[in-house]
Amino acid sequence: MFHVKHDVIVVGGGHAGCEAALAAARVGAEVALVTLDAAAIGRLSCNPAIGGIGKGHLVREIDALGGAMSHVADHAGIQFRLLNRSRGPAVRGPRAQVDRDAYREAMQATIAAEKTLTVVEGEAADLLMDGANVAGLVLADGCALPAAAVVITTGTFLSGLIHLGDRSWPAGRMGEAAASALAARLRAANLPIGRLKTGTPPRLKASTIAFDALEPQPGDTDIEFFAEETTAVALTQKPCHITHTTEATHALVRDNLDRSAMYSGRIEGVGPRYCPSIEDKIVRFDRPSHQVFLEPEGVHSDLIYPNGISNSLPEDVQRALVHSMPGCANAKIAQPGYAIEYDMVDPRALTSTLEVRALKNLFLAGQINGTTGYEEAAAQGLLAGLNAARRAGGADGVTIARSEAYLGVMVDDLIANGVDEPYRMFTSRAEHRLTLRADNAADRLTARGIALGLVRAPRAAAFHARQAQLGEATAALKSLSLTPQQTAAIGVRFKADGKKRDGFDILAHDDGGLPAVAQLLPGLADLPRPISDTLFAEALYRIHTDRQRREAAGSAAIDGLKIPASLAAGPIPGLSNELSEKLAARQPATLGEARRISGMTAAGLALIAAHARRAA
Amino acid sequence: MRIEGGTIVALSSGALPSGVAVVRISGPAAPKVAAALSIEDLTPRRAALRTLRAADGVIDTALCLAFTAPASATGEDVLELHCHGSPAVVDRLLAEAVAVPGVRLAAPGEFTLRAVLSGKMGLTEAEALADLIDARTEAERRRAVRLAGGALTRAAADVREATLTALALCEAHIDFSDESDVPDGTPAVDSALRAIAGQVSALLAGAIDADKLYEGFHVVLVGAPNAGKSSLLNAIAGRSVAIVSDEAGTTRDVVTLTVDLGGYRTIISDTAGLRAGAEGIEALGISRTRTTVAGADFVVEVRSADTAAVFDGAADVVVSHKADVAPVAGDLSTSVSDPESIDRLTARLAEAAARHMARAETALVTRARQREVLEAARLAVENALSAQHLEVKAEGIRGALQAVAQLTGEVGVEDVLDRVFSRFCIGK
Repeated sequence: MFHVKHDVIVVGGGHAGCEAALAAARVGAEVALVTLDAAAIGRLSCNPAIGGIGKGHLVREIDALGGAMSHVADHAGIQFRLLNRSRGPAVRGPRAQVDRDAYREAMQATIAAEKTLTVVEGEAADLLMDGANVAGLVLADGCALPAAAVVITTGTFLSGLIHLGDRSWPAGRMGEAAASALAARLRAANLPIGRLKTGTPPRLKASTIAFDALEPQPGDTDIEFFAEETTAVALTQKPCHITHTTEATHALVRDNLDRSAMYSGRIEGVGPRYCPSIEDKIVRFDRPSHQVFLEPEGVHSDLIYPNGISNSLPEDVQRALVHSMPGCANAKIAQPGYAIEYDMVDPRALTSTLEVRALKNLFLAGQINGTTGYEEAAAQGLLAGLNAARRAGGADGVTIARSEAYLGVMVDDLIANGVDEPYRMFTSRAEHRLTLRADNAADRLTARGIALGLVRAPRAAAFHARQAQLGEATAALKSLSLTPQQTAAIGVRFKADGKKRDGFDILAHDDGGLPAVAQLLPGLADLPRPISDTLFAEALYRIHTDRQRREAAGSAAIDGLKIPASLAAGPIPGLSNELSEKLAARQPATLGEARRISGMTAAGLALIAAHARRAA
Repeated sequence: MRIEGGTIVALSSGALPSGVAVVRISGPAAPKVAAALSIEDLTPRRAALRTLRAADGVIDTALCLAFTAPASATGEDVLELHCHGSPAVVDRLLAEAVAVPGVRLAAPGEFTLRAVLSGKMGLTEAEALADLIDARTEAERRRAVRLAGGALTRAAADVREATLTALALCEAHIDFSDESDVPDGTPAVDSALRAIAGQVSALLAGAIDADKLYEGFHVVLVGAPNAGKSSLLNAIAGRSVAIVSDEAGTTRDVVTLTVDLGGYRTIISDTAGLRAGAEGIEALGISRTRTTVAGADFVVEVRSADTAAVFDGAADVVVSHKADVAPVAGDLSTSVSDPESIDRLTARLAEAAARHMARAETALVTRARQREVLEAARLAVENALSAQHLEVKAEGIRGALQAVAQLTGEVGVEDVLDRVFSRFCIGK
């Protein structure tokens, strides 16, 4: 078989792989997406939902950078909810239940529509090497695919091992083969490899569940979509239902712990604490009951995803467990739950562009880097695909700062600290939380996206329109200057301290808001929701965000000191062995990155800075 | 250590009190500090004798030196004030400096770090200094534990624990509101915050007690009745530079004498003689003696040939008194009839006082930093309490943790998450 040389080869058709291939193609690269099964591209392997708190922020950032996940999720959405609606705007996260089939089909259609992107079915067996640099991919059938850069996004497929009760077998997902040859290649390249674990619950047949007895959880009527361009739902909306575990469930699990793959000690991988198996919940927390959300898998699907009972118990125990929950007495299991162990590459081996330091031209994204979640994977995929394409085109790598995006926080956390458990995005990980909001993702990232070629014309035009509206409204709000007496006249009572207030102060006041401001600035009465939401958030957090932006600018000045690669590789005379090793392993590009190395001391930092200055 | 910007100030010379003390200010606000002290007309790199004035009057007369960036040790604008080495003057100058916006107390090693960062300090020096900076930090820690700050540091660790728990509570309600069965967190967070505010306020009140350190150097004379303590005290009084006060008392009371020994304010207490089997008023006196010994900085045990060695505690020096009659085993021999022997004892006391005051000097900085940090923590907690939204409360709590971290060490997000996951059953 003959293959042309590609700019970028992406291995894997999951969320990371799709965004990587699409981002690379958008910036003009010739891309091949290599997958074991083209029909599985865009498959949601665990729960049928996109977004959430922190995760929804990532989807908005993907959207702001021209990515696909936001559009596909909106298209496939069958229930939308804005989480944390009662909290402030910085921590509200859009989330949607999606139709599994519609999602996969829409993603595959997006891939098919990209002219410079080709799907290649085959098993990635080895890397094509040019000396120490990666130069393409070798398929299991011996076929070589040369490329300027390779992105590996193999998810849980790398030496995947499924555990179900007392049985275990190699697999990437239920019913799909593991990527064992590639795993062997990466291990042979001396990359630091770790082992993680995750689990999934059984799938139930909806037609066998008594929903009438259960509390429904409907979606929002006032819907917040992921993509800025989405205006309406495409599919029939469906509610979730809530059931719960019972004393009987807990007794059953306790009695059968010795039959759980996880508790019988056969799993060596580390699982996520925030997504515990039902065995874990019952052993670790003394509660009479845990909530279980019955999530529909699609508009016409007969499958239900019971969110909350992930386990690795034998099938007979899983059946009894399901039957012990209200509404599920007769529920039938369509596919049992299981735990899966897989290889990951310690992300401390990566640079902030997601390139493997020891294997030039090789980029990694998604679960292979120790993360969990579709959104985390997709966001990394976008960055890795962009950087792979830039490598092919001879351009510099692109990095995203912690102060710019959750994507930046995630990548920095990964490469600085590695992972002890599958890494999930939380808003608590972001020190600039009040400025990194779902509502202002476009303001933070789209200008860069346009400059990089990631964002196409219609979206760019919409962005410029938004910026113009925001700019005008901001100027108008700042132009107001009212005494407390004057604001009281429109019903907004400030402390009578004689201090002048501007429009943002009135917007943020309990008595104020947009209606009050509109009395003074009638032009702002009809602002589109996305614009007024952002203005309100800016007003609410103004004192804090001003400080955060100042701090970000201040630390950027010192943290920005560049550390030459030759220096980071060490050894640095006078630095302790422990720090020298950490420095060599991490190879920080800046003083800021060095500062975040665990165990770094002031003395160590002073030494590194001195050497860096000298080298400059 | 965090590398931060801003203007820093610290006492750059050694032990206080001393003849001269050097207060150094480095950073862009250094000229503003000069202005605040009415010495803005300095010529760079030229020493000038000036009167330092604050709003309420003269602070001190000092030799002042200004350096403009980048021609200074740190590469920044630098102001050096060579003032009189009294704790009161230095404390006041530090207070005046940090009152200028943008000025804060320097962290240990921070001047050096700035010098290195600005390229003012070369490779070899930085290598040599690497160990020094660590040593200073370690010394800082030891000092804080040993002196009055020790209790404060332990209490600060308690504040850190409580703050970490409040933050975990807050973050759990933000990040996992849809997936854990925790009730609305705001009331719980607020009650935790009120408890922290109380803790911090109590600590700040306690920090002022550290002022006792500056009363002076406490010496106590102990020994059996008739060992000659009173005669020794009178001899010291006769030889000392000045008697500051002389409180008379009965033989069973503690008699104190405040003297100036080698320039250090020293309080010497004569105590009731220790005797086994004492009863009544005498027993009360002995009990008071033990209390005085426990609060002393320096214990002088007085022994003589005609009395038994009855002191069962640890003495800093054992004096063989009435040595002209019959010497006994001891570190020093004294006799009221030999003035030189008394001078040897007072020299020994002066030396101990100097060492003690050196420690007190470091406590001055420690104390000021602790107070500054705790004030910042209290303000952050108050901001958190008044905030309406949980995520804004979290900002305040993060700020408080950052402040307390300067006393107790950094807190990472993983510490917070550990707490979240151990406390709540998170995850659908």
